[in-house]
Amino acid sequence: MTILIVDDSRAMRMLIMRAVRQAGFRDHTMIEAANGKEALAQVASHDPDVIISDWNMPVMSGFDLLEELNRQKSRAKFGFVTSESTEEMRTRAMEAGAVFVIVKPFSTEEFQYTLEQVIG
Amino acid sequence: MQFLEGQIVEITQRVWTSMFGVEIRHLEGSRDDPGAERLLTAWVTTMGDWNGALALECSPGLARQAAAAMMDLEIDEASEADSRDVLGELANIIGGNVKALIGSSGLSAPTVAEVVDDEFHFPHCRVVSRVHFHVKDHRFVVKLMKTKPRESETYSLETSAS
Repeated sequence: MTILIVDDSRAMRMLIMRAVRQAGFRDHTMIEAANGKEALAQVASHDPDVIISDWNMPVMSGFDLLEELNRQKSRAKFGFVTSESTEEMRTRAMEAGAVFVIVKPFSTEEFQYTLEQVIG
Repeated sequence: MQFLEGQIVEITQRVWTSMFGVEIRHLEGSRDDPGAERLLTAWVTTMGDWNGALALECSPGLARQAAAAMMDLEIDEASEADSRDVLGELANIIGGNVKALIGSSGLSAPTVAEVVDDEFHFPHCRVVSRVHFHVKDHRFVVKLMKTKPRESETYSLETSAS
């Protein structure tokens, strides 16, 4: 299984990858992108099973990425890891097809619970 | 107690504990700014009902320690770029959590700058809350700012009140 981590902060991508590994998913392949546009290129070349994306990013936001993946009928399960914590934003994400929203700062336990539901 | 001071303390302490495994101590009352000759400041601007900014200030040394902790590096392995990346991400996370409390509808990407012998001044903004912390022998400051009303808006408010 391949998991794509999308965040403009390299440090945050490293922290998320560490949290995913600590949550028990250390055997999966993890790839990275720094914005939505880079993520689309990674999707085209690696066809990831799960995408974990930030919301606010330069070049192309996480929400625009999700909408583009919907247009492309991507099979990847998509979730946000974001500092945006309003109910309005959560509703917008879910209505657009996101299967989870994890709010920063997060715990390893949140990743474990969420990814067990998503990946099984 | 300053505006949202309790919530800013709670959010900042939760962020430091969960991201770095480090406790950050709130310093009550007004203080001088961090005291370092060089400061790194990171901010995000807020839009909507609350036009303003949330800014963080700390010494480059603390930013480097935070970068090393977050990226699982030795302190001398963390670069200046890593320090700026992590301080910007901290501003993004604390700003994002505060945004939910102030009715702001938008949040910018973070900007990071270095300031020497002064604090960074945000034009047309007033500091609503300035909250001081102490962590690993360093000061850490969170500032919540709001855009000043234009003179014409102040005039109309005064006129309507009279």
